[in-house]
Amino acid sequence: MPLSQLTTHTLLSLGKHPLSGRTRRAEQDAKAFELAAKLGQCLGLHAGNYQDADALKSFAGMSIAPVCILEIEQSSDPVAALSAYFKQTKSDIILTGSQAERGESSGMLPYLLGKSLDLPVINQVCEVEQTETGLNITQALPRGARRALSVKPPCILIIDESAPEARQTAYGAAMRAEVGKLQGYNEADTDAANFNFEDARKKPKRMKKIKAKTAADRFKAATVSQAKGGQVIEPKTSQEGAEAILKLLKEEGLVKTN
Amino acid sequence: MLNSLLPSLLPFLVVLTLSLWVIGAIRRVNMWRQGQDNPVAFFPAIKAIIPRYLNDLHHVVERDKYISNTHVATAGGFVLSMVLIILVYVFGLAPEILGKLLLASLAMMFVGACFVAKRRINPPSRLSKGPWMRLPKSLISFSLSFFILTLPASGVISADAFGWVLVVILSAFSFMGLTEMLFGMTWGGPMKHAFAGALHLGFHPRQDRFNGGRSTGLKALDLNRPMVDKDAKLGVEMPADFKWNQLLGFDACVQCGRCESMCPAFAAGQPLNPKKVIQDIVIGMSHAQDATTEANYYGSPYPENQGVEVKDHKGDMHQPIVNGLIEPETLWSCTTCRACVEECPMFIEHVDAIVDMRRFLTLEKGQTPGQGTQVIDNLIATDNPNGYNPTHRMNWAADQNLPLMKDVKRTQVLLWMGDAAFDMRGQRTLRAVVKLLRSANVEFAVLGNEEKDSGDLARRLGDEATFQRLANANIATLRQYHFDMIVTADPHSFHVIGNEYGELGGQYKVLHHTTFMNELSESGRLHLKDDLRGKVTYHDPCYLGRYNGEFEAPRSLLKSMGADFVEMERSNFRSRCCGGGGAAPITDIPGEKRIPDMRIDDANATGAEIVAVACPQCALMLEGVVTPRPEIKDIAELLVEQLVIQDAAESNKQTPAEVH
Repeated sequence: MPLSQLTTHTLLSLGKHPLSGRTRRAEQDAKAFELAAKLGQCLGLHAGNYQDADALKSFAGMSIAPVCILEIEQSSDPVAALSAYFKQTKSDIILTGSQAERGESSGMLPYLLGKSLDLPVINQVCEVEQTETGLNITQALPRGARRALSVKPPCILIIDESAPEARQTAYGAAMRAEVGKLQGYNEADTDAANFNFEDARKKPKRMKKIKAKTAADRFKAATVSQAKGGQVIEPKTSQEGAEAILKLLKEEGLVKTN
Repeated sequence: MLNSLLPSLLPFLVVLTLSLWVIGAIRRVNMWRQGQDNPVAFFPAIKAIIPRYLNDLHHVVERDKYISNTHVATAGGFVLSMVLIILVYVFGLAPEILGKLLLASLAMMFVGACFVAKRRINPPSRLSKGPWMRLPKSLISFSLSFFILTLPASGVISADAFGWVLVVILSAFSFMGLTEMLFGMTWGGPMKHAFAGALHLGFHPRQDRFNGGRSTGLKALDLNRPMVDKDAKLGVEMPADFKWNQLLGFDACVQCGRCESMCPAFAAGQPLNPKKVIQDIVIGMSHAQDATTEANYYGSPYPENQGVEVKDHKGDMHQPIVNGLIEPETLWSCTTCRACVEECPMFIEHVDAIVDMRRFLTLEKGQTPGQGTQVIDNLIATDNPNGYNPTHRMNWAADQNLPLMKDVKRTQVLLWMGDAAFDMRGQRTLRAVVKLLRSANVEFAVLGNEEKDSGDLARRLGDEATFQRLANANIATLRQYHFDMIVTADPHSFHVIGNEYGELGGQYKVLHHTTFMNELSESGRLHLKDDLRGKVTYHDPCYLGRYNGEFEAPRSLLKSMGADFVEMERSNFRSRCCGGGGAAPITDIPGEKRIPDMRIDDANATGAEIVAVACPQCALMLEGVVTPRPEIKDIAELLVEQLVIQDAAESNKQTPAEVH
């Protein structure tokens, strides 16, 4: 497949600043858009209300690709709308963030979309590279580990927190941008109709019991990191030491067992 | 035949070079006019040139007595000589009388030229070399050859005293002089500064700067332009995007390098030299495409270091400046301290130009370097540069019981807290200010969480959109309340609210806390002990001093506390920046030294034990210097230490309570 014919869609949502609650570009979606910048022809797609066009210009101001709104009503299911859209419009790569900053914020959208379109879903993506035959993807695993995957499009990629930072939005470019509009994808969200929404509450946190008697103890408790688990091994032979290391690597999944 | 032609040779040369001067002048004016419109009334501008030259310009040149005297003799002598040469040689008017006058003025010019030559024997590094080294020779050749030729013409010696060979040789020398002085003045050469400089004085983009005035606020950008006109851009991308009279100003540069010797970033080895910034733009706008800045510039280069490679630069009127003529790191090294502008005898506005180019990078390219992007995002989302919760702005004053404007609606003094409210160092100063206001029984209140960042940082980062949003929001908040004046301990807020909100519809009386405290102290409302211990020096914040001319109040307060006060070598209008202005700590362009370290060296040289500051940013920058160094204290903190609280009952006057 010639590379230039790859088409990419990045799903964009409106974010919400955690402290001030102000609307902004969703951070992870911006990172997804940033990755899309090097993946051929791209479109930024937002399923929602066209009244949010001005807020979406913060994505357009990145000057990566045009931004388009798939107009649906408040009660509609974005998964159904997106699924209908992608059944009509071929897309080799669909890039998404892992979780929206507002709304249901379930993180389910890419998986539901993958199920509906019968596409493989790759999560925790932090790097993508185009090759002659497909995509080389780097997946971020816990504790800084990385896994290289080779994927043949079409596929859905979910961005990891550790993907490269999104570029700055340029005000002038954002102001000049025109946000496109696509209509006719309304499908009622039957599941959400029965949802009962209420404000999230912060989990109460158990306060630490301070055992230290003196200021020096408190200082130590605050500064010296407490070792959790692990053990000090004093190996008698190098064989014993190597086995201990290998055992740990296996536990961490860095070395395949068998 | 030769003898009959000789008398008309000189007049012919004068007319020839004068005609070339006129053609060159038209070409130069047309070049400047490729810039953007910026109307200045024509006749008042022309009329203002001479008074501004004699008054404002000479005042700046006079800071270097040697060159001011030299310039008066040379320039005055030349202008007078040129007028008389035209009268005597072209029109043949009263050669007997005017000729003798011409001899006198040429003699004056010759003396001046000799001093120019002397300065050029071993010139300081700030001066440009190249064609500038030939200037004294041209000046001497002009004045001396015309002097000798005028001797017979004015009847001092017999008319046929010189043979024709000598006349031809002398005429050749005068032609050489005329070429430099007239042809070079409009076609480009060292004398260009006279033509462009004179017009720049008249058509200056900041007309309020002259005659003792002050004009330092940045001008607002029309943010709706890109919506109206799709081709319009925000900020300056290429030379033609500057206002025409900004281009005129750049062309007036005399390459004296006074800006370079004052620039803190240049001294710190950051890749900025204000003189070269101006020259790079000049080369871009006036030279052919193949001319590189390196081949056409003869002054000190940008300091090079740590990966910022200064390459061979090219450009023209319609090519992007950044990465063509100037590296972005150069623009982001500037602390906007205005030391270069203050020092420039040609009144060039370097800081305006740099901010104009930054605006393009931020608003159109989205290329704010370093932490700039994050700071802008924080300002957009939380109204403060560090992304603190906007509802926590008043947390510092939890124990202060401060009256809020929201509750009182009307007060005498509105205390503007600034972003120092989020910073523990700044909070110490704010507490001191509050204590002082209370002790002087001043009726005051604060905006509390309604206050937002003043927009200074966003604007210096080139983000005019965020600046205008913050400014408009603050103006809307202030409009709801009644107060006599705003007092602030932050010179940046002071400058922006006082000088830059006006254009957006917010006119306020704003005082810096030192000004206000000085008034309180002088009117007897603040009682101070005059036994401040230790040698004290004072660091002028750029945005208080150079930007707003307040040099006296802080010094007067220090003296009224009985301080053993010493000045640093660079103080008052020549004060060296702390390195904290213009978002420089955020863009953080590497250099060989740090600017605050150099400032502490200045303070150490005085032997001071305390550096008094009057700005939260200066306090942060200077306190960031490793010890041993003098103690850094805001003037408000020193005042609190020296404060005498009048006993409420006034019964026990001998032992007034001390407050610490």
